[in-house]
Amino acid sequence: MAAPELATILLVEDEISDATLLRRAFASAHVLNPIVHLRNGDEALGYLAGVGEYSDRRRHPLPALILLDLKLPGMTGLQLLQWMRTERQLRRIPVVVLTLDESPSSINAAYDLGANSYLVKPGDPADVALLVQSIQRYWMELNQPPPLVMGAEGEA
Amino acid sequence: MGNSPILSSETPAAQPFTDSTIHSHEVFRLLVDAVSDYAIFVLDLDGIIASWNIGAERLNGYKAEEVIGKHFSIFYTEPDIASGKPAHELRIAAEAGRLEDEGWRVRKDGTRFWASVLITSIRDHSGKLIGFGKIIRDLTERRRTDQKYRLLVEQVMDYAIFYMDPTGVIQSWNLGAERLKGYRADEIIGKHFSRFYGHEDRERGLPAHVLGTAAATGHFEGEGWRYRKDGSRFWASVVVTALRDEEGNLYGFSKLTRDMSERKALLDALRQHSEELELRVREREQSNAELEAFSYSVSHDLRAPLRAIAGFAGALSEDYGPKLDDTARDFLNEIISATRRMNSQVQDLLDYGRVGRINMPVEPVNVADVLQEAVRQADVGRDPALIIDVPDGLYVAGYSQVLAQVFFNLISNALKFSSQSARPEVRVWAEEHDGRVRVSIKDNGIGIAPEHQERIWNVFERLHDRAAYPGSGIGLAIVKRAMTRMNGSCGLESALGNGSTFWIELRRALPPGKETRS
Amino acid sequence: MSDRLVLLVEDDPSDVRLIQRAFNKLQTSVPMTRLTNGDDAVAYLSGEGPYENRVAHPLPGLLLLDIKLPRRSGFEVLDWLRKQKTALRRLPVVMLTSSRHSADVNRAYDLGANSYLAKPETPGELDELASRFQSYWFSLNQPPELHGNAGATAR
Repeated sequence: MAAPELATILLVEDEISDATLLRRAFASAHVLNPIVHLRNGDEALGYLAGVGEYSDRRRHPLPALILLDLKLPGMTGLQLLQWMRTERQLRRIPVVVLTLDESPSSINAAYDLGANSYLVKPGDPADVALLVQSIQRYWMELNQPPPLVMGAEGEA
Repeated sequence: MGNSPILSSETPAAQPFTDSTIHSHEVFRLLVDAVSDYAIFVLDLDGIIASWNIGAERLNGYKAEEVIGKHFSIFYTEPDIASGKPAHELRIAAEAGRLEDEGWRVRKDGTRFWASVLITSIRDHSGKLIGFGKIIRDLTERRRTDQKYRLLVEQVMDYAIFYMDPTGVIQSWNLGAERLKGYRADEIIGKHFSRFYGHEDRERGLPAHVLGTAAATGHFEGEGWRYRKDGSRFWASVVVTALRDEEGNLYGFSKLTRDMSERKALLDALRQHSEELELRVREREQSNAELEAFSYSVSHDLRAPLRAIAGFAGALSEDYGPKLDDTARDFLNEIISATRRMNSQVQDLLDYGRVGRINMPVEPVNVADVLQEAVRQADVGRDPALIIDVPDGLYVAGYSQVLAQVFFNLISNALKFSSQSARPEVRVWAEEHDGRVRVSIKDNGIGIAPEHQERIWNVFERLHDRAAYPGSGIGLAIVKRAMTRMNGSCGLESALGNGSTFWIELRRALPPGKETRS
Repeated sequence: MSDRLVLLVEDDPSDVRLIQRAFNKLQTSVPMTRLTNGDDAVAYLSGEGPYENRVAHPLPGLLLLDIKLPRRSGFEVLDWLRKQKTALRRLPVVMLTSSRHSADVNRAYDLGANSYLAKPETPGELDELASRFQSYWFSLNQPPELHGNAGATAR
């Protein structure tokens, strides 16, 4: 049993249209995992830090995968990523950067700050479905995720 | 009463009182006469009875005319008279002003009573002794109770009972005390009770504390080491009671000591026994853990060569398949299928160990969701034989990952066994009763004979040959172990030819977020 | 292209053969270089000794790393890699190991592994792994630059 069933995916994306496209693509790929969509870095930080209402981890569980846009209002994606990697409970969560920015400097910076992978948002909406399928087949099915803090199992 | 002169009108012979005093004391005399609980009377200088009251009549039995003019020694016992006690008492009263005493007195009918006696000297206004006043109280009743108690105490041998004065000096000693502590009465009376305590206890003031507590609260109760005359010690249960008179003045302590050594020895033996038991349990657990670790590492290490066998056999089949004759291809298929069996066996062994080992924090688990996950992993979602009829919103207390494995095993088994029948069908449904949820998985396979229904839950038990029903035989053992660890249960109902219904039960839980914090 | 090269560090010869075979069968084959121990991996990545010749021994685009290795373990290699001051530290690392122990999984992510894959037991699953691996890392993922010095930012 590799993939944890029904683990949450956190999508940090400020463009609603992009988020909608992604959600639809996940649905078509029969991904049952709940997707939490947050529109800026500060809210994502609050969610991950368990601040306020997000402290109820039953209703707001830690994600097993984070899809992170770099261009965010307020706190940037890279800043959020940097902060995450300093937090003991969050530093292992796989982060896949999903952004329009193709520049090498952003790519390099993302890897330096601890991103697991860097994907560029496809221009053609049709390719979004393929992208999502690939994400699902690799990260949700093939990859061994770090066991989440609650559970404390001996073997994955 | 003091030194006020008393006039007795019934004493014609004696005239020690002046007329002027008669009137003022008339009232007092009437008062005295009326007192019936106390004998109050007057003696002259020589001890001749000069007055008599109702109480005296009641107490002594004599009427006034029978006794007035007689010497008061008639009230004393023979031995007391012989020893000159009456005169002695008068002398003391004359010198000291009063005498208090307790002792036996004799009534008119010869019966004895225990009396509390007060003799006071009476002097005139010039200080000259003119007589004595005597007040007697009958303490026989109290004495009798005391006596009874004393007899009781004497006879109790298992308990040491003794009395101490308020400072802790021993006043009495019973047989039980002698037996328990080794001292005879004559050796110990008059000594302080702290000698029964150990050196350290005495240093830290335990005896004083015992008396202090009893004095303050009425009792002291405790257990501890006490020492005998020969220096040996015993474990004692001790009760010290403060003794107070009617006015609440402390007049001593009673101490009851019981030898608890036997009980303590028993308790100690019990404790040691349970410690040994715990040790053995821990050893057993440790050897279990070692066994598990061994089985884990063996299973784990088997996987690498298995991978190689399966991989190369597969490669051989792929790359050279067309070049092989039927027999060779057949052999190759046997190899591949054998590796699959071994693989699943190793996986099952690892799963079995894992289910025994990992932490399973209990939480509310959505039954329908877990069933869906099991179906997804078994990849039987599109199998028409499988019918799941479990409502959403049904939660049980369990661990979802392991429960998914349980369902995976049971559903896979059920589908496997149904597959042989003409119209295979596996039904899954849930029922609730008494706060427990039972999920049943029914197949329409060949069923299981009653004599096998216990065995199949064991590791490596198989009922059918491999060809008909492939499987390593651990699946149900994993189910049973998993259910036990989740504080649930599992079972089976089956008859030959009638299919089987396997069920698991867990406590119903409220959906997350709806529970009250406990 | 060298950034399609996978450096496989695996000591079990059967596993090596089977993994290479699986990757070779892919429609878009993935070139693979193989090393058998952790010290060689470090030397290769550093360009030391025999590996100085970058034409014969190009830098890979991805490291496929087992944990149990002779000399230096996979964790030690990973730790060494992430501590480099050069751009090399960004090299994506995918663990490929038989261990499913959560302690190992955790440690891998803590040390900076990009991904953790468990060695599959059946050949069919291995083929599937190779296929998904290739399509994700080489068709979809944007690789980092590995040459030159890295900036001030670090993990």
